[in-house]
Amino acid sequence: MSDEQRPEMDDAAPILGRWRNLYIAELAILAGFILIFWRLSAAYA
Amino acid sequence: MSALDWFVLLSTTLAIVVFGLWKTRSAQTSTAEYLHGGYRENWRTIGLSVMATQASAITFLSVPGQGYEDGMRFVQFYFGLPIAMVVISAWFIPIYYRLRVVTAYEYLETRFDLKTRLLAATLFLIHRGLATGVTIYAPAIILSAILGWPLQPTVVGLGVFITAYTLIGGSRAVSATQKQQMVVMLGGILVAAVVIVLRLPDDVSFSKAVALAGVHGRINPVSFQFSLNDRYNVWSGLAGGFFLALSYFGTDQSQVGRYLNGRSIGESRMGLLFNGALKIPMQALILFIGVLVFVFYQFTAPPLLFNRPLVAQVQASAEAPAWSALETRWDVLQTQKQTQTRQFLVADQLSTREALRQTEAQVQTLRAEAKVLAKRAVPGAETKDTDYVFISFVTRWLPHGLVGLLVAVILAAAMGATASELNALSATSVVDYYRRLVHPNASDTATLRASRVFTVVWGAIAIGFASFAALIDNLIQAVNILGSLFYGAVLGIFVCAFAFPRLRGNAVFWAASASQVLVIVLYFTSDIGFLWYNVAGCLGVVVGASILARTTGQLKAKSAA
Repeated sequence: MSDEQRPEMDDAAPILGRWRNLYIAELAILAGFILIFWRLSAAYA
Repeated sequence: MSALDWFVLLSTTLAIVVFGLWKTRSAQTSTAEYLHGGYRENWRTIGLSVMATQASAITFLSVPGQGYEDGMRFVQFYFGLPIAMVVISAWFIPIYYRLRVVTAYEYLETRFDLKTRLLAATLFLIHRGLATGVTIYAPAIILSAILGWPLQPTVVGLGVFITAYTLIGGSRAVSATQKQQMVVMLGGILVAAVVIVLRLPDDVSFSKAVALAGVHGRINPVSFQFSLNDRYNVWSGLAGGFFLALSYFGTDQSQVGRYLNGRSIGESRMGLLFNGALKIPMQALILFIGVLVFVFYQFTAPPLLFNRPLVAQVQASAEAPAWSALETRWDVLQTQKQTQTRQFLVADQLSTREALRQTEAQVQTLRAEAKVLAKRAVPGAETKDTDYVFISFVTRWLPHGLVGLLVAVILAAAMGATASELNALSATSVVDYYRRLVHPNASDTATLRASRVFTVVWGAIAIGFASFAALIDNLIQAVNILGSLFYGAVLGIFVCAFAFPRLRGNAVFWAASASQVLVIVLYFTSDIGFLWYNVAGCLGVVVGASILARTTGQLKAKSAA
């Protein structure tokens, strides 16, 4: 059976169209948290 | 605990166990169900299962204590995690799925050779076997402290209970019940946060509480100052945390086994990305709970030491009069601190801030004196009491019912994490040793029986190690240091496999062995932050294998790669 015929090889991204967009969203969330925490640290330093 | 606490604790725990038993009806009969759950989980189950595996009882015991003592800077430890989730989703998962492996180490034989596979599997078994002991020990402390049970029998009883639960349920039940456990955990910590805020004096608003924590340096989630000796800053979090998370989620079977249970690549990827997005806010919230407990104790006198059993031993020793004198000084200092805190709330000025900080320094000095005295009174006792801060607060200040809920949270976390670990230890022992070396043609029944025997054996080893865990001063750091000692070399092997197609097994095996020794030497001889062990171990394998392969002419030809 080729990879395409195996159901477990299904890798369609469920949202945002492509996995690349989901990965960018994940990294953007991380950047957002670091930004918020940096502002918090600066505010109470 | 009150009757209401017992009711909440028992009903919550029983509901999870009964649900798990109901889910295990089919898992009793096949090795596939027992070891990897039959490949049928969706991304929500995978995501929660991955989170529950990482969030052991230590998370709810030790992390608030870290927040209390050190503020929020520990959250930086998780900054590399989302990046690792992306890398694993993009590169690791498709390879694991294409080869349909049960353990990550199977892939290494396909790519390199048997000895490299066994080296990685052995390093996993050693460190995960030890770490599982710590994850059993942590909730035993709590049950022992709350119920007044002796610690050693509690360790054994809890270990036997969790081993039996894993033995009956297998992988599928572990995943299924982890969903319920995560719901209990997240619900429990949210309720705890709200109740602590409500416990603050009426005239102390939330913003004033945060400002007070800031004066004492507890609102410090980010530091951009680079230092190799500083355990937690943005750089060690992004670089060291990334390597640690990549090793843990990409090569540690206790996690790989969770997301390879998915019904497709897409489900596994989404589960990991879900974990990457939720982990940082969840850890920040747990740390912030510790910070709120610190603020609470600015208005109410905390105990001189949080480890009550140790205090009782000191009070029963010849040092009792000296301890009593220390407690008198402590009471005076606490009254002074409360007055100054009130003055700060009325007038937030440089002078009131400075006065508060000076008194806090005196508080810390007195606590240090108390620890020295406790050590003198009870030789060999561990006096660092960070792990007791939160549980001491819960039992003293939270209302009836909530104490039971929080104990249920901690027990649920222990069950979820330990069951995953025992299942992974059993899967690796069976797939990488028993079925590969001992009985390659073993029947399904024989393999299932072996899987169960290994679950019991690893449960016994973990319980044995848990009996020595009292010697460890901070549990969550101990687990992370233990992981960092072994993960770098294992990750290096996988990086060579994925990213350096011309490298062969021999060079990687010897480089990984040397790198593992190097990391252990670094641990005993240097002061660098433990997160950097992951970087050093991984780079040691990659650079060492590349040099070895070139000097010995073992590189594959470009066309063969």
